[in-house]
Amino acid sequence: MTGIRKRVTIGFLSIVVLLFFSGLVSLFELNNMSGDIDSILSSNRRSIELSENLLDGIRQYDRAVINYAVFRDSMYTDSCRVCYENFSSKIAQARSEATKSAAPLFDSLQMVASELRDVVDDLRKNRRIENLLKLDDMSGGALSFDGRTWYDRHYLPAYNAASSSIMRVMSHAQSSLSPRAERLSRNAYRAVTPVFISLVVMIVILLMFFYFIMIYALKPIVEMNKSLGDWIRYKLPFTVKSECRDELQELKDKIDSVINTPKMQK
Amino acid sequence: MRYSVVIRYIGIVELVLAAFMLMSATISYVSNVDSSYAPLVMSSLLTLLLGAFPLIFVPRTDRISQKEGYCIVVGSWIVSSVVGMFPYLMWGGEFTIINAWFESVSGFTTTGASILNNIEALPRGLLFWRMSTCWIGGIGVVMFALVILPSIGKSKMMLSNVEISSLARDNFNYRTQTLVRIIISVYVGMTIITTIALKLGGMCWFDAVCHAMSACSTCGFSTKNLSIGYFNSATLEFILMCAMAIAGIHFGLIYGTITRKPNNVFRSEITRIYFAMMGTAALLIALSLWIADIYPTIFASLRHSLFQVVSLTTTTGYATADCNTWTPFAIMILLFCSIVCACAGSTSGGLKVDRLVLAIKMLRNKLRSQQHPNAIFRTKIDGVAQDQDMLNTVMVYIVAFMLLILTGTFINTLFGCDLLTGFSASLACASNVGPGFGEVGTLDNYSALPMIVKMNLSFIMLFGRLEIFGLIQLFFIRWWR
Repeated sequence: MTGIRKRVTIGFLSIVVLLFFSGLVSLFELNNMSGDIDSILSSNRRSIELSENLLDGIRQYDRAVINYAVFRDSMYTDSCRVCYENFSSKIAQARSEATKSAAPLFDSLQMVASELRDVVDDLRKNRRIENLLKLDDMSGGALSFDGRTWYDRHYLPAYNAASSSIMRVMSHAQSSLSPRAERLSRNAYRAVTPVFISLVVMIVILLMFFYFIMIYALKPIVEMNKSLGDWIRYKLPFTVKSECRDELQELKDKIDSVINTPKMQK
Repeated sequence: MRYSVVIRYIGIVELVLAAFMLMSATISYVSNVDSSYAPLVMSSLLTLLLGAFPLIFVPRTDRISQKEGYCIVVGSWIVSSVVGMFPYLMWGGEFTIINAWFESVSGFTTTGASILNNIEALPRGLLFWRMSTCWIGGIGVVMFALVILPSIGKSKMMLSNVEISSLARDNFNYRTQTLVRIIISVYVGMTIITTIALKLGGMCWFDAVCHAMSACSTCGFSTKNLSIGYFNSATLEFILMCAMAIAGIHFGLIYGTITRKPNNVFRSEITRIYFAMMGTAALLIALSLWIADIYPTIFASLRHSLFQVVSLTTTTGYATADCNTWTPFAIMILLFCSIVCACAGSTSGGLKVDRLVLAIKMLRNKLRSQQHPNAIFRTKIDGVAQDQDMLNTVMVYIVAFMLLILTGTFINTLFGCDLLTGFSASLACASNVGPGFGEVGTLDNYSALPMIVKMNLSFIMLFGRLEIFGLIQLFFIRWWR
């Protein structure tokens, strides 16, 4: 690389490349960060959705049980089973999407859900309601089965336990997101580190560029100008102390030869 | 002084670093493009740009002054340490700015002190870069650039003179070009042989290469949290002990031994004292440990004591045992080994056996001259009388080294370190050993120390590696004629 134009062009291009590079890195890092935030938000949305499903499942089951046991509607005998299966599948689905740390909570939920089913199954298997309903019809309602008492005494504690368990799963799912968000906010500066380093390198290169231009381009021109002025005004010898290269060296040599030629002719 | 020339030569050193970063990126790529790939490629590009930029503008120079030589060498060490931080910072993890600076300086100065709590969490590319820093620093960052560069007149001689300490030049009676070739051939040869031996000893290729680089540069970085204790293999310990012990010998003597020259290892008084010192220290520590019932048998005591003595004397800093649990007598001997260290002209740091021997001989001559006031006594090494100027420099260096350790200890204790931790950390960093005692023991690390202490220790490492005067001169460069 000999020409001054080529040197300045390369210096300029290096700075442009670095600017482009730091821009590219910042875009890449911001994209990564945006992806992380998106993933946290979608996890949050999904966790809310799954919690809703679980609550919806247990509510449907509860409604079926109330109709079956309290209102003595025999049409709901199968509905209880279907609703439970639905609830159980929602638990399994939530479990499959949950983190490993939530596994004990899902075990607990599964257990209380089984207890809930057992309470209703006990009632159904013994066919107590059906029998009692028949007796009730025959006796004209004298031997009535108190579904509300059964609901309060047997079913409600199991239902409450299952609801609490769902609440625990929900709060765990939400709390497991907060460390990720916290980590992201704490390490946000990490994302800008490559950009920061690129900018520092660019500043260093700019300073070097400025220094080299001063030393190898501007200083010789200033000195040549001064020395030429001195020669014109006071006939002082033409001397340039700075190190000259490329076209500036040629210029210096040419000025030198122009000055020295008339002397030699004399 | 021509700053542009200084910048040009520092730029050449940065190009060498960029090449090693690219090599580490290749390792990362081969290891299924681990998480260090992008940071290493980016760092390599930035370093390449930083190094190549001055080459475009500054013309090649055949002559450089001594002042410029000092600036190039010291500047190269400092700039390399700064550039060495890039991959660590970009990768993240435990590396904050202070931690990355500490790790980088520790690597280039071959100290081997680490701030990492979990080394095994680092991806392979970054582990290799960590080892590269110590391998480059082993023979000096400028020396690497000199090897790669074509002969550039007297500038090469000037730079090698500044980079190699005056004490080490004794056994290097060659032309600069030959000297540089000897150093690099011995260094690369040792690394290759150690790698093969470690592989045969049971390590995987990656661990073998990393540990060979670390042992031959007497750095002490390991790829495992438990250092060499992780492998629990007497064979590997023996191989590494041999590698460390040889890396602690003057490279000129190793070359002389291989080429059957008169100045060889067997004829060197310093080398004999170096091995005798290590043997005696290991034996005394083994006896102390056996009597204190720390290890069940004398052989187990000897195995651990010998490894730790060789490791600390050569300033490597590998560990197979927690020396904090050893007897105070054993700790005292290890502290002594950490001060004296290995031979001049090797990759090790510290005071060097040569200086200790000269100081003892000067002391003996002083006593004799008091007994015989008219007699003239000369201080000799291998039968050669030593120059008085050199002897004075040795004594000044010993005093400066002790002052450095004391100042370091003072600052460490000022910012909350206990005396043992503060003193041993300061000593371990000044001698480029790495592990100390107390909170910075052989199986511990420097992560828990306050930030100011880490900065203080990183500068002590640089002072120790540049043999104190090099770095001091940089602050007084304006007044230097």
